[in-house]
Amino acid sequence: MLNSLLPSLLPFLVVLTLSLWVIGAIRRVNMWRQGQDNPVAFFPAIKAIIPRYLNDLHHVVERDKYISNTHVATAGGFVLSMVLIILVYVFGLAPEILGKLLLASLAMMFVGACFVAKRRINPPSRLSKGPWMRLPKSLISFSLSFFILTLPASGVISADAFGWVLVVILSAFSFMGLTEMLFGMTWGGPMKHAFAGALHLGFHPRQDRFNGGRSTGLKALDLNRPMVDKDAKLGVEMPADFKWNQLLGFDACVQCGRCESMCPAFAAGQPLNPKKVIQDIVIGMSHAQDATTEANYYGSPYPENQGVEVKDHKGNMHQPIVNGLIEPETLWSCTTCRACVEECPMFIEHVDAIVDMRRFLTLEKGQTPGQGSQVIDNLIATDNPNGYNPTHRMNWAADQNLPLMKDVKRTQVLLWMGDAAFDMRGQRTLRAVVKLLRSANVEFAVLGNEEKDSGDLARRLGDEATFQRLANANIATLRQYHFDMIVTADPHSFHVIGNEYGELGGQYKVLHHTTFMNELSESGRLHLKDDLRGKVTYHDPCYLGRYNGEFEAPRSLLKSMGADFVEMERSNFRSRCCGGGGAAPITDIPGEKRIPDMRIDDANATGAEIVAVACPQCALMLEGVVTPRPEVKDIAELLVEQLVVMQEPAESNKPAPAEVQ
Amino acid sequence: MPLSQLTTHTLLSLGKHPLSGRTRRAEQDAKAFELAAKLGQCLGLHAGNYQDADALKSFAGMSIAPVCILEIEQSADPVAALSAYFKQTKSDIILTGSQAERGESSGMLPYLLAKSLDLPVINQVCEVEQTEAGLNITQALPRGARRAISVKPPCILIIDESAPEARQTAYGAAMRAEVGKLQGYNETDTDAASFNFEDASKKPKRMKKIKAKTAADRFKAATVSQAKGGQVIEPKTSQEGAEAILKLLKEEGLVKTN
Repeated sequence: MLNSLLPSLLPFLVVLTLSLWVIGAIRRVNMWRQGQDNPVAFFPAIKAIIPRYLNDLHHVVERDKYISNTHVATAGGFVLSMVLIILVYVFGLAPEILGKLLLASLAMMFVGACFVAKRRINPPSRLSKGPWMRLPKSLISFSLSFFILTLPASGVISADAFGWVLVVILSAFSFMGLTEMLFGMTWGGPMKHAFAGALHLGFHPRQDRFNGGRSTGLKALDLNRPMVDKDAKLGVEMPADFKWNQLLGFDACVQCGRCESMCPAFAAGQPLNPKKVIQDIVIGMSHAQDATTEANYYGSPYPENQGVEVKDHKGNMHQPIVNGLIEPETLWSCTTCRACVEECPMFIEHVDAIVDMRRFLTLEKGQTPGQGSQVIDNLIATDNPNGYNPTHRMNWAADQNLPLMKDVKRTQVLLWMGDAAFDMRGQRTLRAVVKLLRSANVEFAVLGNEEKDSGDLARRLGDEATFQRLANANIATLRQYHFDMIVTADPHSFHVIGNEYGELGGQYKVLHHTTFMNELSESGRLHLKDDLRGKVTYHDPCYLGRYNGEFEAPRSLLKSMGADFVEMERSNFRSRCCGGGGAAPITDIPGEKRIPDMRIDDANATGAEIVAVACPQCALMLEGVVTPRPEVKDIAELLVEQLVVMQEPAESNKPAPAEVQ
Repeated sequence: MPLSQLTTHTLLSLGKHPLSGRTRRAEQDAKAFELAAKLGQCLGLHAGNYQDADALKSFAGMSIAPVCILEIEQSADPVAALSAYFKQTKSDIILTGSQAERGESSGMLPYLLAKSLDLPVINQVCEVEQTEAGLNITQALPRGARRAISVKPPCILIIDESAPEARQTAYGAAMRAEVGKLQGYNETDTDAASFNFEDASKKPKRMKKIKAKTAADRFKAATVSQAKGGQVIEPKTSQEGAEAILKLLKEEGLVKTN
């Protein structure tokens, strides 16, 4: 009995589930292809999957050692076992040797599966439940039943050691495992993340993100499309308006909730959960195909979502997302801090998706909430978000005698002032920066009233038209002059000019003031006293740190001032946003707490007396928190306090030619 | 007459930002357009040059109604053109702003138009509601007072500053919109031809001495109404009322005491 059952039943089950896997894979790929074109070269993408998995992905997963080891054992064990199962059971290749190898890999997978099960005993709230609670059982069932069945097949024990009843029972368990692992992988289930995730690594919409690269600038929108094609729309209205590989990315979500645990808006009780945003889009795009498994969501809901239940989110590939799948408040709660993107092991681009959907709301619907519409009107009419007279941009520097590019035409450093020029808090930082530049004898100039808002705010509000107008105007102004580099105290301008103007034809070397001051300090042109008093902590601006990878220069400056430096619990790439990015203070979606309050709590926990910041927006947000709290000071202000003046400040700002790296 | 059959025209003009001088949608006209959104079939009408069509797209981007230019020559009087248009095309409600942001900016257009068409004018309108009998209008009076007015169309309504904010212009909708073109009646504005335009000169402003010592004082100064004195009089007879007015005029030195 056994001799007739074993050779035929198992291979049949394997071939059956493999065939279903293939059919499911074709259906799933066709589903993604309903998205917009976004060509990625096929073979290089396929070739890139494994190196990106071993290098980039593992690097992110490894932040949680427990799960990275578990994943290596389980996933590695499974992939190896599956290959060997096909070789041994379908093709009957060298069962004696390969069978023993299969036993080893199944054992490895089983050990991993046990750790998966352990994590699921009392899972953290960020993990989704539902079908995900079933997964460890399926993994154990797969690895254990195949292990036992392979014992006789590999000749470890006698071929007729099991009665036929046992063989049928074991085969049933292995079929259960195969169903989850193969059928579920392409038809929708927890294992879907393996199929979509692997392809997403290869066909990622931001190919530059991998191998140590950084790709954080938003992509430009073709604003002429509505003029050429009356049916074309700006931004994303329905799931099918996303690029196909964005849909692929959403489908790869493993619902681990790392994004949720990092999201400042979620923590503040605003109606945003990055995981849920992605799942809502998945519910929409897979509605017709996977109503059984994917239309149900078993993770944390949006906090404070005005009585909208998780189950109320319905839609399909060709129905509007907003007010069907996602409420507008969800999209406008995002501070675009990229904490979720940085933390996502599947490399999903939440912020890109949110901005895409905001673009549709602003450009096509005219539904920018809060002060958004007024800010856009101001930017259109006065080139600054608060509607100040554009000819008053230089008023702050009336006593500074700053050289203007209009007069000098050529300089080493172009100091980009940003909209901080209109704000009394920002002006204090700007004065400090000017003093430092003069003290280091740097040749510099400003654009003065020719400068316009960088367009960051307009772009994050979804108003791509105003962004491109401002960017093009600034690029045209900069084209008239010669300078070696742009230095700015505003990380938002820094990011936009450095990473987003390029696509519109503006290529510049842009440095944040902390980077530049650190170079000056290290090259001995800035002399600092090393007796800074009081405990100091540093708040990383998202647009400097996560967006541009500058974590070191500000810390190095603080240390060179002799600061008693202490890190907050969340710092560097895991820094918590101040709440001021992504136009969040303008759309002002209510929550239970305020994000800056939580950040000051972080700072208070360190016992620091000073929070050093490096962004005018962070300074405003953190200074807006009620006392008692540490003093908020820009690094430039601290530097001025510690400055040793070696010579009388140059009156004319025309120092001897100096070298700047 | 059921209001769904009413036809509404909103007169739209090009605005000018007070600080930067850039062309924009005129704020009050946008508010008028917003009110028109709930008053039956509507058309946005601009008497002027078709070259301004792109600038008028910011009204079309509100997706309320089509926008059309009644084309007239530079020297022509828009009142005459609009009057000729409305004599041919029936309109139950004509909505306007109270004053243009550029040009003569006299605020006379709705009144001159009303005179020429023999229509009633209601100014300072901040809310309109449709009823079986006609329109229920809320008129804004100084200091937040409101007056209810019922009117039977046709009529001209002039929007008040306190009317609801105009909706946002959507860029995509504006770009897709096509601005219509009608030939307007040209009648040279002889009055305007005799005007001599020159830039206003800035007058020196007396500097204000800030007496407030604390932020709370400043807040109070900025928010609490500055008006002082005065009293509410409910006169029993017209004689009593007239005496009260005369007393005030004497106090203010507007009537000589003798």
